[in-house]
Amino acid sequence: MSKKDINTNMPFLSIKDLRVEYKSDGQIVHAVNDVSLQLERGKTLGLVGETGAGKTTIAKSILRILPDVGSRIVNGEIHLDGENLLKLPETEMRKIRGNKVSMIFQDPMTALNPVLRVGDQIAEVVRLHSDSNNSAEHEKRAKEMLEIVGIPAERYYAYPHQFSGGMKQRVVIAIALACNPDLLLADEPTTALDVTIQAQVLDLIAELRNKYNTAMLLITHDMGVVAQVCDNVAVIYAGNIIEYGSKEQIFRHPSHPYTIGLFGAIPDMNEDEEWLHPIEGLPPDPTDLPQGCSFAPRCKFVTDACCKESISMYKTEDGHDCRCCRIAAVKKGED
Amino acid sequence: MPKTIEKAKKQSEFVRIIKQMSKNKMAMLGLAILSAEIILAILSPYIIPYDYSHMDMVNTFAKPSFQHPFGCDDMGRDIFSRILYGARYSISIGIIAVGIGTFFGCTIGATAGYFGGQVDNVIMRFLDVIQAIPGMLLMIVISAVLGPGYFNTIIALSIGSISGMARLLRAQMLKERENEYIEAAQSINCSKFRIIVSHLLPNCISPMIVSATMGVAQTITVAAGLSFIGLGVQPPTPEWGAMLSAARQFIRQAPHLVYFPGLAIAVTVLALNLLGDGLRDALDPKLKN
Ligand SMILES: Nc1ncnc2c1ncn2[C@@H]1O[C@H](COP(=O)(O)OP(=O)(O)OP(=O)(O)O)[C@@H](O)[C@H]1O
Ligand code: SF4
Ligand SMILES: [Mg+2]
Repeated sequence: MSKKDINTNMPFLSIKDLRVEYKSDGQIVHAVNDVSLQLERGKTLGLVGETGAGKTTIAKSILRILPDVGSRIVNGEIHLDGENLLKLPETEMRKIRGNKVSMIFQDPMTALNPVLRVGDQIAEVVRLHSDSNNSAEHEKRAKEMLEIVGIPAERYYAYPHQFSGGMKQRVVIAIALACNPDLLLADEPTTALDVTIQAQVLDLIAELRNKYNTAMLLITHDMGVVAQVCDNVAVIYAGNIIEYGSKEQIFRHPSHPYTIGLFGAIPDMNEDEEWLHPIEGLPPDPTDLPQGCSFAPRCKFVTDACCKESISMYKTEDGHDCRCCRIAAVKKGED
Repeated sequence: MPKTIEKAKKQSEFVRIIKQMSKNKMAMLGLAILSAEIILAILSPYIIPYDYSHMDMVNTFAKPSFQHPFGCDDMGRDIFSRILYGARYSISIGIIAVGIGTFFGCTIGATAGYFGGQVDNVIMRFLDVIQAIPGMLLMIVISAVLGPGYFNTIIALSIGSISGMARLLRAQMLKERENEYIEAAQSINCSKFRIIVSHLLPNCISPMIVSATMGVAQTITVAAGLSFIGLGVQPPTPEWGAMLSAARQFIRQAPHLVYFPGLAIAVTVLALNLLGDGLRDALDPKLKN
């Protein structure tokens, strides 16, 4: 492939070798370690992993809203529509935040400012990205967004505490979608909600995504959510993508011992089982990652070879990669 | 019908706060007392029955009576007149000094609290150094350098209250900053200034208000301390604190010399606290209705 080809075929979002560290109490937290992923317009990539795996950190890196103090993007490239966001001057970046790329936050209970009216919070993002100073126009757009997410426009003047969790999350979604973003970063948009509301909110997100052809990075640790909305899946463990493929590939042939374990942790309706099978052990300490495969301490299939040097991605099917040097053995063990 | 609802709800935040306040009876009482005091203070030169510095040796230590409703002091000066006239000094010193202190304290505290890291470190270490000096001593030093007098007292008192305010706001900001709505504000491209002013400050304001209203009371008494040691506002200017401390030595033989200035301070403080509480509640939309 010539260089020119790479450029023209560049996916809409392409993250390459992203590495992010936090400094806390004099220790370095290796939150994201050489993550690469791609996402096409109108598609949804599910980013799945346990708590602390670095999912939120990846999303914040894309928007460049990591804390000023104590965090550092060590290396990597984030190309959006051909532009490297990490090289963009702050003034250019400001046009992107909330406009071309927006984010739905993990916890709707704290993602809204308690002392501002919900409508004004939607109008704020509209105003920040609009050329006009006509606040009536911004307000109109905010009301329109409220209706779109299923809240009557009269509730514009309510305060967040007057809303239920599901309604708050709808407002957060309205804020994220108010400027018709090309890329939506949805950080566990439904984790804080109960199951029925969860389904409604997911439907809403999927519907709006289809309508506006938005690309979406959906962060979750819920395989059910992945099944419902995603096209592709990246499984992340200790800040590293360990398996990547289409939803069908990951669900039909999970290849990495960790992914297999994740599926083992879902109760199977067809079997007479009462308990989940959580994966034994805990994720590694991000300040002190093991050499070689970071899953090795919890892996049934571990051998000496796993712990020597970092494992690269192996192809198992077309478009399905797995970061494990014993795929064949794992597959047999599985059968 | 929906239109009227919309109109009613569309009032500005300011109007909402005022409306909310006006429903709070205690806050209104505080406001009434304070307004009365301020009006009396402004009008005092025209309405006081005696000149505040007029000495009448016949009436030294006179008990309250019809001629002298609050009695007379050790020099036979009419305490009622002195208190009315002194309100000009005491109330204005308290409010202006706390106002200035709060303004600078908030600016410094907000900077430290929002930016954190090195900025925070430098600011806080500097405040540590200032706070290592006992507050009273600091104000004595400043007023000694500036000399006595009304404006110098205000400057000394406001400098003295900056670091406490800065610390309080910083702590509050550090706590609020952790909330996701701050990240959410960043993610929609709010500038730092905007995040501080329109997202963080309104969420940090209530302890500041409480502390400022308390601060006015404290400042009035500290101003008294300063005039007692010959700094601050000078006699015969009838500043309440100065009257109070001058009367201490006569507390056994003529307690009314202490009662009335003390009462004046206490009533003012009470009114400010009622008002501060009401304001705090009105600012918090959760306590609405
Ligand atoms: N501001 C910070 N300072 C220091 N360490 C941090 C900071 N934010 C995150 N971390 C650490 O970085 C790692 C990745 O955090 P991140 O928030 O990205 O995880 P996550 O995958 O989103 O988890 P969750 O599912 O719980 O949201 C964790 O080990 C976390 O402790
Ligand atoms: S590389 Fe080795 S330790 Fe890691 S998942 Fe594969 S088999 Fe297990
Ligand atoms: Mg997270």
